[in-house]
Amino acid sequence: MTEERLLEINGLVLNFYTYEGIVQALDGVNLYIRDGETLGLVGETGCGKSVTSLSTLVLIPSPGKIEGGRILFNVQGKKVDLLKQSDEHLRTIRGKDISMVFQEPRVYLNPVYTVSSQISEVLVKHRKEEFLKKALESLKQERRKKGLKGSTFEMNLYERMLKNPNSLTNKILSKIPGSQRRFKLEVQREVVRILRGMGIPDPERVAKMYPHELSGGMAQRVVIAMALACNPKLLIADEPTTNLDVTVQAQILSLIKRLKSMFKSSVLYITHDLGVISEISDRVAVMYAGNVVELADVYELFKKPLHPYTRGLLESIPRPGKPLKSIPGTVPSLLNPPSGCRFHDRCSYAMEICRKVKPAFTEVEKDHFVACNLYGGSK
Amino acid sequence: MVRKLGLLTYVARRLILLIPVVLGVSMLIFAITMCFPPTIRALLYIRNPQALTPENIEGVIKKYHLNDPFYIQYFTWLAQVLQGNLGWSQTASAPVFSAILVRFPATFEIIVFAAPVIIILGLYLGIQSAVYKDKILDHITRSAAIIGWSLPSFWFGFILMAVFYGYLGWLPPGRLTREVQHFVDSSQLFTKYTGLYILDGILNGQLAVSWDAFKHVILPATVITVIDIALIIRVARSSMLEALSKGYIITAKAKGLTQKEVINKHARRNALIPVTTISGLLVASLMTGVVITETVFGFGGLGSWAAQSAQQLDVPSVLGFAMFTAIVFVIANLIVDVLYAFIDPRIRLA
Amino acid sequence: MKKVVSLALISVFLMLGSLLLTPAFAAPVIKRPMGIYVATIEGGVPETVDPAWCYDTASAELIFNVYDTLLYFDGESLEHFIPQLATEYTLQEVNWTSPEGLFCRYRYTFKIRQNVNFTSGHLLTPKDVEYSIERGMIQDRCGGPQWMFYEPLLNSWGAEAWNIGTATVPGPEAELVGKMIDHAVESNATHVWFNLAFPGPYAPFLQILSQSWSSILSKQWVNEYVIGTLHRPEWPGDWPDYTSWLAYHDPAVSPLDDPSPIMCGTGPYKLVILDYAAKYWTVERNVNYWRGWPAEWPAPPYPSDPAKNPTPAGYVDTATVTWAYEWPARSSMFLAGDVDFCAVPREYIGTIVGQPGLRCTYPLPVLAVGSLFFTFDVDPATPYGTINDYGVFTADGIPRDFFGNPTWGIHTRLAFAYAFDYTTYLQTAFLGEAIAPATAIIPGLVCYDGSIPGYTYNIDKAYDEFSKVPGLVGTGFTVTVTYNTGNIPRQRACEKLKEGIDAINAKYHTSFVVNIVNIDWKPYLGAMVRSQLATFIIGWLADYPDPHNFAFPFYHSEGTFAACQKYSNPTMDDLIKKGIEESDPVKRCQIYHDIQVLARQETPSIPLYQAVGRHFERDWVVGWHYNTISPGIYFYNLWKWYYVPHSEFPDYPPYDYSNRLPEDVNYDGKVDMKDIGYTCKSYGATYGPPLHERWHFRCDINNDRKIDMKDIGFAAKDYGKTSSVWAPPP
Repeated sequence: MTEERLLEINGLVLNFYTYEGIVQALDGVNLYIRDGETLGLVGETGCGKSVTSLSTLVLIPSPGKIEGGRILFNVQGKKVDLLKQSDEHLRTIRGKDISMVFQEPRVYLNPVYTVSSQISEVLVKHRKEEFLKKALESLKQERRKKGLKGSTFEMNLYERMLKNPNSLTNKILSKIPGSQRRFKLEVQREVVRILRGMGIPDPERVAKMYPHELSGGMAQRVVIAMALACNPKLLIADEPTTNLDVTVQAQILSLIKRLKSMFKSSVLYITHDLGVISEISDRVAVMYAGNVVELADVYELFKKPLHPYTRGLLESIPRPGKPLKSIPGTVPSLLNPPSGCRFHDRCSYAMEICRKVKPAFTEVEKDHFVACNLYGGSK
Repeated sequence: MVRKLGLLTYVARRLILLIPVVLGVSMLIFAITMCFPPTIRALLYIRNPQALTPENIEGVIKKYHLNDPFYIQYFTWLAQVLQGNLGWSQTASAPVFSAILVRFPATFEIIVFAAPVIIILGLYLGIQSAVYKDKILDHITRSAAIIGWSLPSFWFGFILMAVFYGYLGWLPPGRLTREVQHFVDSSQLFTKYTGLYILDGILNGQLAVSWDAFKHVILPATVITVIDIALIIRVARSSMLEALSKGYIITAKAKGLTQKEVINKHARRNALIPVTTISGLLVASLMTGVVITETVFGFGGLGSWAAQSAQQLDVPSVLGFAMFTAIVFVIANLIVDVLYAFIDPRIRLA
Repeated sequence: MKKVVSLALISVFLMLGSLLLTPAFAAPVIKRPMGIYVATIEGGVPETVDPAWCYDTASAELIFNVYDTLLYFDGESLEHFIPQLATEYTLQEVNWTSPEGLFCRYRYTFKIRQNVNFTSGHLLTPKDVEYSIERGMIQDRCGGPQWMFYEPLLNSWGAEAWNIGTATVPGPEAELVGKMIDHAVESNATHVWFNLAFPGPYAPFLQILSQSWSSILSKQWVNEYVIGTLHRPEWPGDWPDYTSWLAYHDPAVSPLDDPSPIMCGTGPYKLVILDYAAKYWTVERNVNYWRGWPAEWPAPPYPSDPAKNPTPAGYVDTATVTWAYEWPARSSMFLAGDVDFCAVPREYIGTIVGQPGLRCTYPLPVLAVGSLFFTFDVDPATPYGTINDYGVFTADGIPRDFFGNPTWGIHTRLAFAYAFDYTTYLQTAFLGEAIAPATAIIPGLVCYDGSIPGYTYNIDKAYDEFSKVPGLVGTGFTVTVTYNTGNIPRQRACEKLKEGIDAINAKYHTSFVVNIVNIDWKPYLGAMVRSQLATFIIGWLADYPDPHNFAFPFYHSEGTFAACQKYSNPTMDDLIKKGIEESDPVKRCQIYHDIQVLARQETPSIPLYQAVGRHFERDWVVGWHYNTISPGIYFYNLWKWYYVPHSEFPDYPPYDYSNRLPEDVNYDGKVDMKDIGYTCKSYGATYGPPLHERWHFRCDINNDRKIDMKDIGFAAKDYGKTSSVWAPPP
């Protein structure tokens, strides 16, 4: 864990232009993730967690529009604003540097393709050269062993493709059936290897299965495998275990922890379950109604929650022997959000000023940020 | 390997199931004829309705068990049908079986040119419409499709004929020009292998015949294509829109795939399923005769014969045609189901 | 890249442009100079190729191009004949009794032409004639034409008139009938003779022998090919015993049709293919036709224009008739010249007449009439309308004898006759191209009497007639008039009748109700036969152009219609019997005059329409002429060549053409300079063969196949005379 900030989101504003009006989904979101760190993003349903993660990949579905802010991502030492990148560049980042895991794996896997085909898709997209070289090498070795000179059509094809990946002739030539057997074999091997690494028993058989033939836990492992296939720097996991049994959930969580240490990637873990957050995160960001209201180290947060909403959340965790507490009121509609601080109408510490002024995101203690008028720093 | 075997057993099972389905359909159709009095039902076995005099009607009824219980009559009829004897068609002056056999290639020739264009072009336009939803392309495609669907086929056929034949003289009506028809029917140099003149022309080495037949097929095929393509476009568009709203599209995009790859690889295959259903039904219904188009162009296919038989109350022809239609639809359904199994592995093969 | 694309586009546009211009500049070239293409109506399917079976015009058209008969009508005439397979004939009164005791008073003997070959190679002998006729009579299919032989030869209506039984169980009279058929037609080496059991020379006999059902087949061909090679169940032609013929009697389908149609005749063409699926038949020239072809004829005496006509041949090699095309396809092919003859439905005549490249011949009288029939004794059990007992009038029905009561029935019938607006009806239903004859003996038939006045439309007189029926006017009535579904002219007729009756109601405040009901053809005929229709409209087409063919079914108590009507007048029956038995033509016409007068008085039925036809062909077709009774186009006369027809006669309103003066060439009702002018234009033309370019059949007044001074002389003799124009008063 270094101090380098891998991902930094500053003041992200996102609006949805619907028939009913403008839904102000994100109203200036701020957070950051450091290298090798797991950030847990917690909040109620509808607070904007998924949308934030999709924005990171710049995959907002219309009628949504990003209308402000920056998303800085560290690519090979340089920080780039993802919102200003071309589509082409973004495609090289998606799946390779940043990848995403979703909630219901069987919905998010294409039902008509096998597991192997879907995983190899991402491998071929981002690691093609690597496998071409591998295939070429292995073919060369084989021929040397047999004592043959020269090269086959397949070997020539691989060399051409390595030299000139975009030429039209190569594309046509590659369509000839059977011309890329070794390449496909290498990719297939890698797929099986990745699946085995996920702890999936009998990975050869699983690779040939279709998503509807997998159990929930297995499918989620496959999705994770797919996301980690190209060793991304940042893995975004959007409530990956919400729909699974508790036992399976535990397995997936331990898997993620293990992989994180193996691949040394950062994880943005989105959930509404505080238990999971405490289990898996290094730092936590709490979101409410389109804003990050608190961002702190996980121990700090649980020991000393600063924002009233965080406090309310922690208090509402059911404890045996104690009466159930809840935060009064409901989440506001984002068509017509409350003025000033969006939490003011449910906040027991609300002040006059909270109605009028939106609190700024300030660093109250070291690495502990809050957006609340209680702690001053209003603009 | 396991998968491939699964598919083969699936197909084999469906083929075997075909037989009881066809038998069931035949039983149903035959049951309808029970509404007719024995004199009309006798037409299934004898040729000339005027040959039924009060003297010999008793003999005929006895011979063909026309007053016996249903199952005896059914088996009598079925035995005959299995020998290929479907009765005599007054409208065609030929046995029903050969009447169908001779007329089917004409309809088939039109469909074999129209159907692929309808399906492939319709699919493409529907997908493009969905991808560019609410843009200019979408509006144009949808309006053109609806206009095509609303065109009365006879009117459209006439207009085409008036322009391309009446004014320009390029594409005449009928199946062949008179001299070519004469040559095909009576020359020693020409054998009708299939009844499809374009194919037969190639098989006989007489390309002039194929070219002539092709010139005559263009207009009817165009009429059918323009009118029916709307079906496919609408279905393709809506199923594509649905596919595009699914989760795996986001996964695909998140993997870094281009828009083209997402549409062509991920979305399209899922969008195909409703399109396959509709295409199967469309092709089956086209196969069993496009009455108006055939009549307008004087094409001599199955549809005009069937319509004529129905008007003239030619019971054996209508029955034979019903059987034929039923079999075509059953086979079309089978093909569609097999295609499902190819496209969508979720269909249980077990 | 862009340059190439734009160049390609420009060249495409240029090509399209040039193609658009071409039709305007191209001169009309005769398409297919050696072949004729006929597009007939969609229902024009030939039912059969067997002459003995054939009773429809579509089949007859094919048969009479492929087969020959003993004799045929001379040009347009219905009374003069030209020899075909028979070279001479005699009619003798022989008073001969057959071995079965059948007394035959008259006998027709024909000398058969020598050196005529069938297309199978066999020689024509009198044996073939005997075989063809006997075969037909044996076959006698139900609803077929053979009754026309049974009537003169055996004085009956068909084989079932006797108790012949079936092939498996022969009846007691089967042998008798077999023997009678055998002895009705006999032949020797040179002649054939027919023994008529009919008490009279049977005037229509020669007309019957001129038509397709009298075509001559080859006995040898049938035995060698049909029975021998194809093993079809056809009668071999010999009489080893007199009951085995039952096996060939009234078959379900003709052996010459099933499973494939086969023909072999002596005629000018032979059948190449008859395809029901592709809907066409083609015949090709029989090069050995006994009459010969123009190549053996002398060269035409006029120069031909090589620019327009490459080789005026004088004949066509092939002819095709197709029924595959509906009107729009048919008409575009006709206008494009791909089709030489086209059947034009009445409502589209306006779009075709006047188009370039076409020729229309008008008017063509047709020997068919549609009449409104009254049932004299309606079956009370009828589902169509309320029928009361005899003489009982109620407002909601009619008495059984509404039309048939001996005392006052005539008045109801005449009242209905006055209540129909004939002129307007003919104008709306037939666009004016029809006439309403006075009786069922229609113009065009021999012995037609044009002096008998037709029916007129007069509401007041109709009311007068109704008033003459005691008790009718006060009560009123409800009558059901029927027509067969889909027949538009008959539907319009029912509506016109209703309009007339309603007009009476409006003026005289009576309550006469007419209900119009349409019935499908088969049940319509069934109800008609059972006398269940108070009135019905039905048509009749001549089998042969003799008044007996109309008088009998319409007026004789055993005739097809009169029997259904339950109309019986012994005087009329007697007259009709005398008419067919009379041999002297003058006396015959006197008898038929009496029949017509009586029919007009009695009014058992009212003739509503006799349509007038039009014929359309391309202007390069030469040689077509009209004969009322001919079933279709005779290709032997035809060839393709441009000639300027001076015979573009303008259309005049139709009238009863039978008393048209032959010199009235343009059918306008007068003989004047115009007619002489037309005749002069054709001067010097001959019928040929081959046909002269200026020939027009109308200008040859004396039918001597030459247009010369004699024809002009006729016109001069009758100059200024007018034909009596028949038209109802406005």
